[in-house]
Amino acid sequence: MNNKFLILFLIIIFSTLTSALIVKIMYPVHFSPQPLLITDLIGIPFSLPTWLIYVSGILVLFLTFFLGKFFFTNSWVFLPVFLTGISPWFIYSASLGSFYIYLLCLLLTNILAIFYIKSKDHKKYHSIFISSSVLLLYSSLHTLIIYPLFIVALFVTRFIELNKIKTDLKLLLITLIPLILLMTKNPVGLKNIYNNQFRLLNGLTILDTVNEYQGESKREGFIYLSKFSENKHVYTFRFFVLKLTKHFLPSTYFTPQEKLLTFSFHPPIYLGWLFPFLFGLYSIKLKKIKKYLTIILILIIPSFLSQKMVDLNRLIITMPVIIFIICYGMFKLINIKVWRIKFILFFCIFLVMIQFVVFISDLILREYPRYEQYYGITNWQIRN
Amino acid sequence: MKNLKIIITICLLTSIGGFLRFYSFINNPPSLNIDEVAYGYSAYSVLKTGRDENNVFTPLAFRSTGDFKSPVLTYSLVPLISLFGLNEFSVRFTTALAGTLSIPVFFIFINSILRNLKVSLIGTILLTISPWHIFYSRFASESLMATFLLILGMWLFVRLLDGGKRIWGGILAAFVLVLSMYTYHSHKVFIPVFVFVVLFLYKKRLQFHRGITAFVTFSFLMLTPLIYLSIFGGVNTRAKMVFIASDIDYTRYVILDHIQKFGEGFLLFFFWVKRFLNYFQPDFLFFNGLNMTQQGTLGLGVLYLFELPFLILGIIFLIRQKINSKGLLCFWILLGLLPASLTNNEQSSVRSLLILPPLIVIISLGVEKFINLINNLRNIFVRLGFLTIFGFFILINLTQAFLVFAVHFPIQKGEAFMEGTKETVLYALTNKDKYSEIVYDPYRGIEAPYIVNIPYMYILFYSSYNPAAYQTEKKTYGADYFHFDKFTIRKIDWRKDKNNKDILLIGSPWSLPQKDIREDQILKKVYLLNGNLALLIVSPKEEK
Repeated sequence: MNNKFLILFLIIIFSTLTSALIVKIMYPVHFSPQPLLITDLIGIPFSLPTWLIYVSGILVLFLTFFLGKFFFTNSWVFLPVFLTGISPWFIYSASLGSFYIYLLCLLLTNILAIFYIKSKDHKKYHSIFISSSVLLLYSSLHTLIIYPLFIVALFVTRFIELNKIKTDLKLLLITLIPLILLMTKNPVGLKNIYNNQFRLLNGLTILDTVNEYQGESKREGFIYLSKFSENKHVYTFRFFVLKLTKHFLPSTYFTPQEKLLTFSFHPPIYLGWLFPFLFGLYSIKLKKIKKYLTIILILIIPSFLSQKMVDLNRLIITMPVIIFIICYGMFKLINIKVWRIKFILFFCIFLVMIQFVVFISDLILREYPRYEQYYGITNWQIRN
Repeated sequence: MKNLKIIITICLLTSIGGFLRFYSFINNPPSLNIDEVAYGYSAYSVLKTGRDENNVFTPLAFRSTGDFKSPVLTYSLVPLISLFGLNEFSVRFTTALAGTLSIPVFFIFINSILRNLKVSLIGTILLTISPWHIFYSRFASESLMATFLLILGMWLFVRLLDGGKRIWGGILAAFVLVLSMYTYHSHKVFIPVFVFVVLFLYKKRLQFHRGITAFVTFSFLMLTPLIYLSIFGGVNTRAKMVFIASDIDYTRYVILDHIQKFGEGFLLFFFWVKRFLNYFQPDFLFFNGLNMTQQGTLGLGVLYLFELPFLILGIIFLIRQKINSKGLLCFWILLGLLPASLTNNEQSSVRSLLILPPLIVIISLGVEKFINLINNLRNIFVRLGFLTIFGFFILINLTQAFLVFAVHFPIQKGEAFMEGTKETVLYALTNKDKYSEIVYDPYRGIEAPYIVNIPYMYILFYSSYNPAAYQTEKKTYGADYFHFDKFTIRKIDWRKDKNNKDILLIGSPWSLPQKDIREDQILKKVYLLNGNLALLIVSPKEEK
């Protein structure tokens, strides 16, 4: 038991040191502070202090460890923590003060509480569940929307029975009353928060494009065909499909296709984990894939509603799902005795090691100049 | 009877495919692009003199505009030019024909590897209406021709491996596959590697009979000149020009113009992986991969959007079920993207065209699975409803594709095909005798003069310039300057050139600003289909 915590402690120290390196190199770059939903509605200018985000980051690693115990046994339980702790996605977000690390921490606390309620059903787990749920609902409009969907998904996928948390949900509804009252009393404030958070159609020039295309078709005598196939509904649908599919591509998570912090060349998760991830997906039974897919669909909503095509900052709340699939894939691969698979696995791990070294060296040598080139030295806030 | 129905169906699909590829192909794309005029004139030069315009006898790599074009397409134009003359029809006909003939060949190929008639027919239908295939069939394209030869060659090769022992089978397979390598640069990299992989996949069935021996021997014989050219000739010049290490994205934003040398090799590797996986991006596959409309707007991908669910189903089916030639299809796609991903383009639909056949096969498997799923629905109303909605969605996609091809592409992308150059060149040729010099500014563009034209090629093409004369006459070269006969290709500076009399100036409004030129000096204005002024023809005159 002591050895396990020692290893966990070492991983956390390692991750923290890397985060500290980033803070030192990238100073004063940081994510722009985001106010809490409740303070924004009341009108108090309060944002989470940076130290709380750092603490949330460390807690995420602890929570990942305890969550890992429900999926893996013995030494495998460290793998999710290790993968999380060294991934650029987590390190950048935690060290540069991303608000979504705090939300991820709350989400993991909540999920862990549900797991414990399912297995042991002690009062303390119910109180952790309720308190983390309240914090989630009061912190952000995103979680206010996705959290109820998340709970419904847990029932629909039969992950947990309604009876086990019926009382908790009733208490939760009562705790929501002040928030609902505030929202009804301050509709202008709520609208501002909504406009800031949900920018899905911001910057889109669908109407301009439609008018231009229909104009061209009209000149050639195809106006009715154009109205049928080139109207704003079709274009909006195509845009939504494009946005949605980008969230399900491996290249989004394993390559710098969607740049971290909008300028970094490093992928959210190291490329070497791609093969275990794909193998993990392949190994999961079809019924369970439907379960994970439902959960992932809900968790990508904040990123889907942002102005960017894929917002990696918001998307970090899906990271544990990806990490656990990678770990499952690794677990399955190691148990296959075929030499070709062993060779591929060895190559993947080697690639991760190389990429980590490149990450550190590139961070020291080029990351800040890359930021300067992209943003300009005076503008040191990365907008959410 | 069944065979007859299949033959009739294939003939019908070929006819439809031919119509889609040939109909108005002279006028749409709206102009011959630089490569097309280069192919055409090189072929004309070979026809008349046996040499290309750079005076090289029957070259295996055409220096052309400095990009060392592959020979097959150029030589294929020679008989057509001799019959129909040097014009748009002759230049584009061969590719359109190759595109049309790809349809029956593709059917035979799929059927030989999957032995599933239903999937083969579905695949053939998808190829017939494929926007990727139709786009590159409608203008002279080495890539399209090479892909046609690749499908044919792979069919012959797979037949050989499946027990075809005849020598002529081996020779034919070798001839077609190696010819494909002589047709397009990507295939030079892809085919040798892919053939080895296929041999490995078929190793259990492989027997070294006369057919295989003939294949190997004939391949080596045919490849010898190509290997020589690749090492000692100008073919590797092209490779150096387009290699990924020279990509602006890489040099400027990744390694920051070599700010630090340490680790650049690894960064290049990871940059290449990113480029490789770029080809699986939905915007390339389904939304704007063909680049037929303006940047940033949703246009036409290399596949239709309605093929997305079929592709997903096909991939799942391919992974989870035992299918013939699964390895062949997967390696074809993975290796086929190697050449394209190693170049300095974000996503190149022309260089990656060779992965279209296996992609269509996978989509066809998805369609078959989809049909089975629909047939398994018990409720007939649900089934009909689903089919109606999906059918409606397909109709929207096809209508939108038609409008992109017929309306938006010629208007929005005419400039990429050097629209307007022909009109100015014909004017210059008609009035050549009136002037002592005709100056053509090669830089043009509506937003900025970033498009580099090669007007001398258009002059040679549309004047059917005597190749023997061109090969031997005196030409003057300089930095950004080229002169032959009465024609000078250089930048125009109106502030200086307005003082030169007895010359004709042809250039964009960037070099010939209208506000500084009198109306009587402007002889002709050439507009694009989108209404923008592209080029001006001006002759400086004394003010009366």
